[in-house]
Amino acid sequence: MEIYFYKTSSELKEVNKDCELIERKECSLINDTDRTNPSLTIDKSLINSNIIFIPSFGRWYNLASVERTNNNWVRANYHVDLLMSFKDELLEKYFLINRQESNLNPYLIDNMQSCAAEKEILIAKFDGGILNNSNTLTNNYVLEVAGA
Amino acid sequence: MKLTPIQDFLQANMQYNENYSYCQLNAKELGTYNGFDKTVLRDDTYNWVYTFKRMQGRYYRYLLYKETDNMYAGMFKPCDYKTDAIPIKNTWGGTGTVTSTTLDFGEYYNDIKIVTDFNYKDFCMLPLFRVFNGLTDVTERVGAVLYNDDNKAYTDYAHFIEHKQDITEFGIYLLIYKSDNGNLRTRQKYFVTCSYEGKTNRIDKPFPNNNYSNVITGLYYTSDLWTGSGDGSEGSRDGHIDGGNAYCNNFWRYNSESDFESGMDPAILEVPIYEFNCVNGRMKTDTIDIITKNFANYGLMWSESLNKAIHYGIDDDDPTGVHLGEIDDNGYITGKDFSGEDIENANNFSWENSADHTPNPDAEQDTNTYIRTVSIGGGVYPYNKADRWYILTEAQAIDLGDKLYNADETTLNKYLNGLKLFGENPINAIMQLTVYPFDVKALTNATATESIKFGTADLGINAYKLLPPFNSYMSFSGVKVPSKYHDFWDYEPYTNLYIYIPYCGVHKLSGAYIGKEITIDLIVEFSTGTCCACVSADGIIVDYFNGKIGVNIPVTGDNASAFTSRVNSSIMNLAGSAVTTVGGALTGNPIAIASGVTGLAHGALDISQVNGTDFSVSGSSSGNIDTIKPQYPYLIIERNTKLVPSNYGHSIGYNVQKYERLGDLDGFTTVFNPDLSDIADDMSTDEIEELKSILIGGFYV
Repeated sequence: MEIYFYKTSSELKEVNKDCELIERKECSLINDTDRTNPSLTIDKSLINSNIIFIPSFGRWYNLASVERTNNNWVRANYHVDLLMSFKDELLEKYFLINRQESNLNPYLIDNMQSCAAEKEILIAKFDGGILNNSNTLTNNYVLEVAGA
Repeated sequence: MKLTPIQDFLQANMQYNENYSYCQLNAKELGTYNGFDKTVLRDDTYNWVYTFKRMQGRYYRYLLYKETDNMYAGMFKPCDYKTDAIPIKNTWGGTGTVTSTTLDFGEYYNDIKIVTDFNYKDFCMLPLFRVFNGLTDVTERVGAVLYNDDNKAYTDYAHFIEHKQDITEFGIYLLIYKSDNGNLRTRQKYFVTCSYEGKTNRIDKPFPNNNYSNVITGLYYTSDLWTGSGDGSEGSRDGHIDGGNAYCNNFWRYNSESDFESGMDPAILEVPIYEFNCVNGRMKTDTIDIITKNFANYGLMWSESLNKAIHYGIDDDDPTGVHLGEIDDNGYITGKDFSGEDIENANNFSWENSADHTPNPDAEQDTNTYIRTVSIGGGVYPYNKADRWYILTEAQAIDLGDKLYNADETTLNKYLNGLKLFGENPINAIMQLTVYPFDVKALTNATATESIKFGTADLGINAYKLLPPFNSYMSFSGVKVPSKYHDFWDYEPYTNLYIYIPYCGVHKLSGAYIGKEITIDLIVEFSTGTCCACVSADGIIVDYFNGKIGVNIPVTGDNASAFTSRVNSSIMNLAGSAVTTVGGALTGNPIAIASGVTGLAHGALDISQVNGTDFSVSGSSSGNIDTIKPQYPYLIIERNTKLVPSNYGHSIGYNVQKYERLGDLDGFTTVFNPDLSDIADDMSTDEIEELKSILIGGFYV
């Protein structure tokens, strides 16, 4: 089957990986593998490729491990990349977002954020009023006497 | 004229008032009318009008699409501002006689409901200002952004804010910028009405028939905007509305249906009002907030600058200087203005058209009348009208004690003769002697003096008379609670506020004060010596804290509550007790007379040392201690130290709780319980479960 060998430096869990095509080759799956975890025997020059696309499965696969078989050939084991394989569908779909890197509501309490034990204490003094700050007051006694 | 289906509907539901040229729509039927949707209004020219509905004492504003030119001509009758059809009260209300019809603006509400069918983001309002300093037009000096066909310069909100301290008069004009239907081309000036200098000026001619039925409306009170020039009075006003103190800005200037239909230039019609004059004053600190809130009450996007009005949301994604008035899910204006990055938090931010929400006129309405300020004040002053009140200096208080306790026989007999009613004991005439930690005369503005009298006996001490009301207050200000983090860390329990108020103690404040200016009015009640601190956030009293500020000097063991019964008793037993007491007095020992009174305090003999006397409880401690504590209020801001690493969003993600399209996001993301049923037909169960696990656990978009 036709397989596209790519190289990517994108994060494994990135939906839309930035991939560079290395080679397009006809390959056969090793017999004991399946659509989710296919294995290929490839020229060792292709182990620089860390992600492949298999058109007949309609899926992308990340390189999981490599086993040497002889000097020129290696067994490459892959695992399906579901994010990349269904990126078009996923990116159009609406989800209830739990956590997000940039689209945030800053006033929503986030209990996963942490704080230090020490606290900042600030004191702000009010202005105004005529309360006494010395012992020089006058007219500060009120006398109530019976009889109008 | 042949009516379209929606015209039929509107006409059938209107009640035309000939006197007021005012059309009324049935709000409920309008809101639920099936024809008022895209099917009917599609492919029309884009035109819209406001109208109002008075229902159950309230006014509702409707924003209606216009199917074709003149479609609503004869349907929406123009309102005259002198009737009760136009003004809509802002949230803070108030009163003011506006017209000869004696209209009380306090009756108006801002329950504005928009029923509309346009793309919200097609519109962006641009407030423009003409500004003056005294009689000088300084618009160009502060930064004119455009000229209009009235040959006048206008400046934008940003410049208005920047130069607000120099502005003593201004006029506001709202331009509407609108993109073409759904094409999201940059917005163009759509139409505008304005008023200035006694007539309505037309700045643009957006419609072929000069249809100015579009309405920009709102209501300000001059006293809301201006303060006096240092004397505490309001700034002088321009009497555009029969000399009233309310100014509103509405632009429905047609007096008749025929005027409206003729396309007559409204400039020749009624006197407009949208100008704010204050020759000697300056804007209040919250003037800008008031104006901003009024813009927000349209439920539309508005911008601080011309450039943003044209480009934001189309080819400019930076929301700086862009605002959005919020509309709730039921279609009601919330009165909240969101700006900058925060506009995404407005409920209607993501709305594209009326299909994004369902206006529901039947939804429960907030029926409260909200006010912008809550201030102290009252008219009932309970006090003992049978008493005399004096303000004494310390020397006079000492003199008082000296006269009472060291009187010679002649003087004492004079007192006793004038004190038959009081058991012939001068001490008993004293209801209370209270010392305060401030100048009572200064706080009460007492001016009249009088010689202190005990009964008919004149003590010869000339003191200030304390007249009703026996209370007053002093104010403290100058503290604003800053937002440090501009997120939830600024609120409880991450940031705590405490306030110390002299004689009222320390109290914890709620998050209602965050970002607000705190003021304290400390009310002192002289008949009891109690006090109450009214703590306000931006002019609204939020908390009341009671305390005791007056320190009772125990001249006598009686108190005011026991006085009446004792007086009654004295009257009934006047003869016998008088003999006994006089007998004691004749021994030449006036102290002996007073000693019959329980609790004669040492303080009475040592009145000059009041701080060492038996003080009453004040706040949570004794008055003596409270006088040593700080004599000024202060705010304690206790903040947790936020420890959020710079890569927090990328590694953990911020709490979001939003329903979003994944393609609209960027960066690390986790989702709740994803439904993947329609992703792909050929996914195995294991693949679906694995993908769910990834989406829940976190991935990068």
